[in-house]
Amino acid sequence: MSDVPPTAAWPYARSPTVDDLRVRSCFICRDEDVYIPGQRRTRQDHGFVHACRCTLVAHERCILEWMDSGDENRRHCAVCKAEYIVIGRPPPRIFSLIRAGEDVLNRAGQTVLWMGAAGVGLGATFGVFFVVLSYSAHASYWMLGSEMATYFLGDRNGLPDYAMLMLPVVPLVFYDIARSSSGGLVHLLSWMSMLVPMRPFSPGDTDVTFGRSMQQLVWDWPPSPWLLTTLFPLFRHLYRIGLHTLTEHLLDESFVRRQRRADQTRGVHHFIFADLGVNLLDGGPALPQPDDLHAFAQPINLRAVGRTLLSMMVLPPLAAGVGSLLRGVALATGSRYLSAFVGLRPMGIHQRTMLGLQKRTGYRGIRLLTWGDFEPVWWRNILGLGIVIVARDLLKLAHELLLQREDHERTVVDIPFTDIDTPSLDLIVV
Amino acid sequence: MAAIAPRRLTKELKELTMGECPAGVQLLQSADFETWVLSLEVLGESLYKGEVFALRFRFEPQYPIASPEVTFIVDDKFKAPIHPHVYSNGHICASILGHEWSPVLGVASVCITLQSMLASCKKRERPPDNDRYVRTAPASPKKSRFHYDDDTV
Repeated sequence: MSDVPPTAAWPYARSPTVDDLRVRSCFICRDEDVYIPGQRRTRQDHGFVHACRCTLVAHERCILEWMDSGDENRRHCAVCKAEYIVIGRPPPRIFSLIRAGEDVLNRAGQTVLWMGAAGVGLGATFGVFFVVLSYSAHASYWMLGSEMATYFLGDRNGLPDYAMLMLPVVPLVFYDIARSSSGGLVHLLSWMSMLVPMRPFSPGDTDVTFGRSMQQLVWDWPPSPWLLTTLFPLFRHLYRIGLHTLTEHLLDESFVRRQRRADQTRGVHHFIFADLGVNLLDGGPALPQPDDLHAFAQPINLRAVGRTLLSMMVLPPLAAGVGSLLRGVALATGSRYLSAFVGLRPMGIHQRTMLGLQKRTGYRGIRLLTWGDFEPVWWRNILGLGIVIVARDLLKLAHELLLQREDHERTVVDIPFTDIDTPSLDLIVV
Repeated sequence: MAAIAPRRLTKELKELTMGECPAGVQLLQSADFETWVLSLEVLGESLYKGEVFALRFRFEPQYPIASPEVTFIVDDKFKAPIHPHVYSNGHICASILGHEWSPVLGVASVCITLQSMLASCKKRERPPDNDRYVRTAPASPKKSRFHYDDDTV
């Protein structure tokens, strides 16, 4: 880099830089920074940078936003065509771990897709209903616990009629949870609350007393699925508001917009972070739809299907796992409040004996068993599912925060005015 | 980061009203930071001598990162100029409004460019594909994919 010869306008041996300009005006936002005599100016003060070979200067953030906003030609100065040089920090290691994890899951999703295709093959051989019922039965056992599932939905010896009505809905419910996380939970809850009213319609169960059920509906802890179904939309709304506020607070809008656009153009779909369940750009302008997206549409959709299938398979046992973990924690800590909250029953034995008696003898007693009579495995599993969903949302947020930090730490390389005649610049000479 | 548009448009508005408006250009409407209307005439000898046109600028919150949407107004009062790069619905095929847009440009420089585009015109005619384009054109020309067959504009 050759330094300019000293002149009257610039009596120094070094080349002038953006910090030596009397007036710095960002060519993008047109904000100005005028030198006040005696002031000591550095680039960091106002974020100005001279990134090309001509006289244009701009805020570093404005240049980055401009570069990020479109195609290749935005990486060059519009006037002198010099390419902007951007230096990024190496991403933190946790980042590559997350990426690797996502990669594995994406591949797993693809494998599941093939398994799904095999499932369709099986379905064609043994009947679609068989495949659906097997999945549903497994998912229900995971979610309700075997005791309750056996009571409400029957066992190997035969499925009652209403189980035939209830079970085929299960894949839809879990599909919904896999796709839209918290939104699907309400369907699971209403599915559960339908189990009990469905039950009396089974032949032979005519001697029902609703009195206790009605009481259980409101006052029992854990709350009944009916109550949860009613209150859930409120919880979900509050949760979404909270998550939205947190996200808005932590991420800036231009970053999120760019992120979405980049994902769209590259056709990237994240596995772990598929749906945040919150649309950050609510009310914002519609993102441009790149025309070449069609070219990718097919493989993307297939991968998405694979991931959804994988989620559908993983979610019920995962929920059950977290559910029994909750139970374990409550037992291990011996905390009374936690035990009450997760519904540990000191008297669960009695009910189970009754149930065993019923199963063995076919004696149904004068009253049907309902939600309150069972060890509330289902409640802990619902909590578990909620925890999984919240954890996923938070993980996604953490991931975006890391991305944003990386994004913010980029710097545009500042170039001294070596190719410009110093008299044409309004320079500060002290 | 808040949208730059209001800040930047405030500055441009100041420049346009403080007498730095290009000759032949007048600000007709600038009540908000979404739509501005400017009148435009070609001074000196040209095919459009004596004609006054009106330009509508629409700005997105991302302006000037996003280019403005610029069209000639076609209504009872104004017509689009008859020019090989201007469609009869007022849409303009100019690369600086598309892929060659840069934040270095602004309302004033777009007006000057369009003035010189009209001033240098040799023959009053519509683009060859005018009828087909106008039949199928989207409401905003920014959604059209022009291909710029002439780089002199």
